Amino acid sequence: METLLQQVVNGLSIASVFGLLAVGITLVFGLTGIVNFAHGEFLVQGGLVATSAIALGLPFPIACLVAFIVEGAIGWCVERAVFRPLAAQPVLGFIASLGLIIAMQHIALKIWGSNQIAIDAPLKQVLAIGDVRISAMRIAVTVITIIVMTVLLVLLSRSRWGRALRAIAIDRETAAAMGVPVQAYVSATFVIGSALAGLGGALLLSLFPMSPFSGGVYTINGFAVAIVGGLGSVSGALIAAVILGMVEAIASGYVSPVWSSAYAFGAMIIVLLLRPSGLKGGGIA
Amino acid sequence: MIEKTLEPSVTSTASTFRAQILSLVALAIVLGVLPFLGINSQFMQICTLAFLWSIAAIGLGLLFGEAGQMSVANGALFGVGAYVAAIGAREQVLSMWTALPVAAVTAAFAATIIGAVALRVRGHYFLIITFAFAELWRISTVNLRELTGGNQGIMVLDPVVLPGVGEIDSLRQLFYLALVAVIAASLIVAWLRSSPFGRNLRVVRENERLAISLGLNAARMRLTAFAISGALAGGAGVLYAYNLKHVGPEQFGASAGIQIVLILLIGGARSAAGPVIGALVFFLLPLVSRLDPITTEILYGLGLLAIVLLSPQGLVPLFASLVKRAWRKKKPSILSTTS
Repeated sequence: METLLQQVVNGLSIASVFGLLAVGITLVFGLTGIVNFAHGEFLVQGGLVATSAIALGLPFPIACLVAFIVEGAIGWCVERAVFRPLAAQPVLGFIASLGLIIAMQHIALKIWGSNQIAIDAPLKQVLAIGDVRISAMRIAVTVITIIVMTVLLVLLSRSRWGRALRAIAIDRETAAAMGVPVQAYVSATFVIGSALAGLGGALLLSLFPMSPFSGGVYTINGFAVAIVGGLGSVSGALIAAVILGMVEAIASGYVSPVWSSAYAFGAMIIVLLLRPSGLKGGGIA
Repeated sequence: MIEKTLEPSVTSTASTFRAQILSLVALAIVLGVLPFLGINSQFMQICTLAFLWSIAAIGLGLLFGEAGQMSVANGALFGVGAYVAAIGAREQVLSMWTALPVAAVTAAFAATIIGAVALRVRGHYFLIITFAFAELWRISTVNLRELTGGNQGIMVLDPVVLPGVGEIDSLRQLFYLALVAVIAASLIVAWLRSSPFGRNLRVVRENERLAISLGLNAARMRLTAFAISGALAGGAGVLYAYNLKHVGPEQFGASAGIQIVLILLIGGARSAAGPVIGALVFFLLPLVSRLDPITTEILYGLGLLAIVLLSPQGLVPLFASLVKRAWRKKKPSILSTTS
């Protein structure tokens, strides 16, 4: 029982990272139809940027902010230079994202080297509730993610900005005709998605070490979450992130950790076969 | 959409088939005399590897060029073939020649299963599933240690025996074996392109609803094209394992799949000789430019972006059309009499 509770907390912290990653994937897909396989590279790069910020003497929360801002800026450049010109050709956009993977991965290699990089956990305390011992860092990661996601969901469902985004996702032309500056919104979404991935990377780094080659596995996890949740749906992605995070934590606790990516893959296939539109198909919020 | 960047006509076959065969013959002659021009052994070895990778790219060319469907899984299917050969050799049950059909069938079967899942839900999901499969394959080869040797991989120490010739082990012999395999694979794909099957694939690509209303089973045709591309990748994997004498998990993940996509796009998805030229450019560029491997990879990544943004039909076709245009400018009289 104690282990189960511990695995649940572990699962929630993993789910946080999955969620931060998948939101960008699902929003960008929902708005533009682009499958961006380089999204996991933004996560890894965010983590690596955070290590550099910490090496410069900045405290961890500021390092998270730096990763958030830097990846948002890189996301803007990539959207502007690569994905906007290819907006009408999703297949080419996908191939371009493959080129981005190679370029981003090896630029990271050049800057940070190929070794696994880890940081000292910013919060070392372990909370003991009875026999259950829970790392404070994992709770902090979960809480930060819950706050960010709540803000995002409220914005999406309540604000003008969110209403405009939902309108674009449903019918781009009509939204444009009603005076929504579609291009600006698409750019902003890409920037937010990349920035959230950067934040996810910084948070991930406080839990696990990473290397420039970690991106591929996280990309798959992000897509698995986005597909299980229904591509285009943010709340679906969050539900799926919690489910997959739990599956991964509990299965690695009780079965074997080496197959953890395979569980997400299996869940994705089962959902595709049984319910192709995902848990919450249609609708961006 | 993508159609605009590809060949405008769906039905052109006979003349282009002849053109494809001619370009293949020319390519075979040019490459066939290379070993007699005093090239060094490193160069010859790299050409051999380039030939084997280009077979996988040729298969992907059928899927992407004709059916309009891209895949990242072909790097893993290449690995399926290589591991079938390596495990078969280790267990002393398969020689290279028996491994070839077994690997081709196994890889085609794997492609069919991936495709059957992915094509139930169409479009982008296909790409995502192929990417996931590529990484799953890498994870499996790391983790299934008893079968795959884990991170160490498997040594392939069996010699290649050609009936009537004996053991082939010199670099030159391996070079010619790979060259013959490339030309054979190119001929198969050129023939498929010009066959009714190839034409139907193009119909499916250009207008799926029309294709279905004509009684074509669009999903099954795409699946067949994917299976054929898998079989070619699997066969190439066998030769690759016997050439490198070692297989390991890092050779065949999603990055291998991306490498095949890059080779295909340098060469052009719809040209017969393109993938071979693409692979040669890909493998010889670092040798010629003498850049360190990481910088080379960054340039490849940016190069792939540049190709997609500027010339998605491929670099070799772009070059060919530029040459053609320059040629026409020089001789305007020919143009005016024919038009």
